[in-house]
Amino acid sequence: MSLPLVYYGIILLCYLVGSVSHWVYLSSRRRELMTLGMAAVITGFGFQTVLLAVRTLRWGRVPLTNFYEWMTFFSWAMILLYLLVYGRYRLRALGAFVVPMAFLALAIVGITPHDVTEFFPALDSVWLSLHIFFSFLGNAAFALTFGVGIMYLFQQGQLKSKKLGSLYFRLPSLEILDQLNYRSLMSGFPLLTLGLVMGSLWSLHVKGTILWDLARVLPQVVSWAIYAFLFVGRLGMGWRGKRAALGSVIGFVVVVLGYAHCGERADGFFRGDAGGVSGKPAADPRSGGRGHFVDLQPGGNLRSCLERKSGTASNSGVPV
Amino acid sequence: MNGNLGLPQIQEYLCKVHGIDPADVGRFLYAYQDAQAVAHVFRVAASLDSMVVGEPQITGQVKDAYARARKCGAIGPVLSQLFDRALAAAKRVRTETAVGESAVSVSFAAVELARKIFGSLEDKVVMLVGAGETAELAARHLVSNGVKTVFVANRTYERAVRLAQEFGGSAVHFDRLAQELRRVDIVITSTGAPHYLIDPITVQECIRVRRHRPLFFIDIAVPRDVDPAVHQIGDVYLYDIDDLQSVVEANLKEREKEAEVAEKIISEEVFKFWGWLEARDAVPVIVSLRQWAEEIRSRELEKALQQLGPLSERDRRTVEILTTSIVNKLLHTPIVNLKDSGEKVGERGHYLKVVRHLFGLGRKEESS
Repeated sequence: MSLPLVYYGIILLCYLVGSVSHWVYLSSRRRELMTLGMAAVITGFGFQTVLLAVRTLRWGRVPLTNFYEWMTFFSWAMILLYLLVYGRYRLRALGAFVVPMAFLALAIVGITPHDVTEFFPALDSVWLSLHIFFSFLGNAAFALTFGVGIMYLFQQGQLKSKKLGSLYFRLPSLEILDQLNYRSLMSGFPLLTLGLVMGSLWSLHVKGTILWDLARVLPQVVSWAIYAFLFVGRLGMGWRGKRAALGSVIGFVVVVLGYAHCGERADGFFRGDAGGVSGKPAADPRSGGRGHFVDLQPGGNLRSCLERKSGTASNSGVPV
Repeated sequence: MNGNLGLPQIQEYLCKVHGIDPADVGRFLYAYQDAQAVAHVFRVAASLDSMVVGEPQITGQVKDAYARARKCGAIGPVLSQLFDRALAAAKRVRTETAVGESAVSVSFAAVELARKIFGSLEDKVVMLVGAGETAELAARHLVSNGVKTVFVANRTYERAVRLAQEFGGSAVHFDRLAQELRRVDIVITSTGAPHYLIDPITVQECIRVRRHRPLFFIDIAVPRDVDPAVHQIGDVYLYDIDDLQSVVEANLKEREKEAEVAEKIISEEVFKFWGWLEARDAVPVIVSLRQWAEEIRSRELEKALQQLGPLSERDRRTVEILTTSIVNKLLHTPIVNLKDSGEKVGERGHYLKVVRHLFGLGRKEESS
């Protein structure tokens, strides 16, 4: 088994242990479980940080070039935000929502038939890399908003029904949850917007239009619109509490559904299947007959990325 | 233990000091010995023996009693170790379980709910409508939990002014209740009014003006002061005295659950303390066992050397080493086992007793 695959397994295991301990903690409140859960999450996060750092250093750019890397980055960003919030608020219950999401994001790579050594040359573009970087960072913040929103709805439900279960004691106050919802929305929305702008710039540059593939662009625009609505509502109209919580939960569900829908298409697109849409597909003979989109610096960029690809293809498993 | 623990004397003394008839008090007293006594001290200190488990005051009382006894010079090394460890175990119970966490009185339950709704109470405003013991107590708890601003409304304005002074707050005219609602976060009502003082329409308007910042009503009055329909409004929470009572009951159940975990922690700590105590007891036994063996050895060696007549230095040393190593080898395993704490509380204590008895160790000390 190759080293990267071992890393992947360790991180996955760490997040699984972290998820289970956080869940059991919610119902049993055993401190040792929480210690174990946090240790597992931090270990997994450490390994993941090393993995991302090594990839960045070896390739000289952000490792956001295929599905595997997106999901690795996405889960890493979620855990990073959780640890930051934990450091500030000691909000253990949040982990019960965020850590399983990070685990799922990673696990999805393992169960879907993606060639992890695959490298989409179209993505060796600064604009597109930034588009993905900001989008996933924004979505990680929304994952947090989602977790916080669920917790708010739970806690409010208990206070309203006057049936105070054990969750009532574990979950923080409505005020803190609302504050966190506000903060993660306020940081997530600008990131998502930035991501969308980068994507549009790339699209304009390469395709000559923003709406080159409606089915792919639409979910992104819709989720952006939902968060824009929430952002304006919170900032301008003083929305808070249940409405904000419900909005963030729905928003994130739409984001996930949207990505599930366009993920496949994106994959196909970046491989070059969507070549007929418009733009300038650059079919390179060295790429085994498959067309690739190249932009900004067509020649040099493509060559360099192909070289990188051939360099890593010899390692079976996950490239570092 | 030697049977006479001085129990009658202690009972007599207690009755004399407090001026009670010993006949009345006898059936309320109980006595524990050895490991049971140790476990009892630990359980009391951790407030597991109380009517309401997990009350932090109990630990405080144990701490006070310990400090006083120490001042009087009544605490020896064993008691000092016992109470230090019992208080440390109580701390462990407090931090590792939720046994003392949830409120078990109506007024505390109200404060706890306020904290779950508002988080920090520092910048929150409380309005006390009417006066009643529980309501005032709840207001007092809120103030001690950080609330800085208190308004008091009462049918008789003078009474409101007087009560407001107590809380360092300000009095409010009773007929301005609806307007005042807009600037408060927590309302405690306990008037003797026969009808509702606060209706849903007023609250609805109020919550709109407040831009959906939560509003928490604590209605302690019977009959109710706040229309129950108010609770249906979003971001408004209304808990009446019955609701608070059932919260308290739920909390008590939660405490019972946590107490089971606490008991486990206590038995761990009792076991550790008992191990320490017995290790302390083991040292003199081991020493006297060695002394006893050494005396026999040197006495018998002396006799044998006399019978053997003059020996070369080398032969003499060989015989000496022979006796020493026989004694050491015989005693090695028993001593190692005495140093080991065993698996159960009191196991080593039992062996120490047996060893003393079998080798007649105590008797010799007493006679000397």
